[in-house]
Amino acid sequence: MRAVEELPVEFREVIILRELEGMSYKEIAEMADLPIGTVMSRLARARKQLQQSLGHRVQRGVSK
Amino acid sequence: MNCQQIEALKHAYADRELDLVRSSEIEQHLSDCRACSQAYENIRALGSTLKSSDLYFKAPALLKQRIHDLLAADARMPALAELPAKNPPSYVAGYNSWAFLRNFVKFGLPLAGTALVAFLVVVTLNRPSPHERLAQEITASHVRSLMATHLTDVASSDQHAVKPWFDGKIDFAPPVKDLSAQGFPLLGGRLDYLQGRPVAALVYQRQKHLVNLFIWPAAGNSNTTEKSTVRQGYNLIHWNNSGMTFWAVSDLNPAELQEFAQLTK
Repeated sequence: MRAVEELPVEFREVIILRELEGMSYKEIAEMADLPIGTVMSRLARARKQLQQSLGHRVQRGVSK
Repeated sequence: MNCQQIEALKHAYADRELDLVRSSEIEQHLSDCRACSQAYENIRALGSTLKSSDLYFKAPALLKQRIHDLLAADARMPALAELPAKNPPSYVAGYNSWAFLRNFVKFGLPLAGTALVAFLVVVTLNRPSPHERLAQEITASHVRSLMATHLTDVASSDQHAVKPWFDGKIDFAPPVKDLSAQGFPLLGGRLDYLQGRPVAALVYQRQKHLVNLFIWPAAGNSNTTEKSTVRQGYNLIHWNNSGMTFWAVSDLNPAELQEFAQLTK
């Protein structure tokens, strides 16, 4: 998916670990060697950016 | 909670990282506030879009093989790492003991950790259950009572003599029944010690067989049906009834011990 590939790598890392690998914040923090606060803020910004670039496609659960 | 607080917590809520109290506060707010519930739905929708996309694929077998080969090569490295550090031959360039240590920390430690966890799991699984340990303890107690000349503390076939004897010795009144008419004459009672507490032991006889009936207050109040086990050739039956837990143990055959268990109820 282009939108994910366009994300900066540090955002891509957290969103993939969270959404595809289903890891908890704590697990992501340990794996990526980041404070949990950073994991949370990166996740929020990654989602914001993805929602902007995917636009209407993810509104109200319409996928792709 | 107001919309501003929701804004800060909505991701953690969607990822189920919040405690129950916060989660239910947010749930409450989402059911009242359209804007926030829309924002939350968008997070969920994004998640399912990512999951249903073809982003996720298994690593090819070739990659797995290459990583394995690299690990195998690392395993052979200690010999090379012991070579004199000065002027290492060109073929070990870049492979010094520091690299070995780093690789050990990277791959060896997780491996050792996994092995330790596996070991602990095996140890835990092999440990006898509390029920099994208790059955063992009761069998030992039964055997001990037959070995020494200490089968009964109070020798009487009269239930009205045996029951009061326990008064003041234990903190409960065990039900004592005389079953002489049914072929299980009462021989007496004894104090015993099981599971870190004093318990009542009643001794019955069936022909030449002795039956020890251990009684103490049950943890719960529920009645349970009889469960039979065999330990070292002894038959054991366990049940809970009217707030007491009962264990009957004897070398008697299972059918007659079962009959005994029914009679004591």
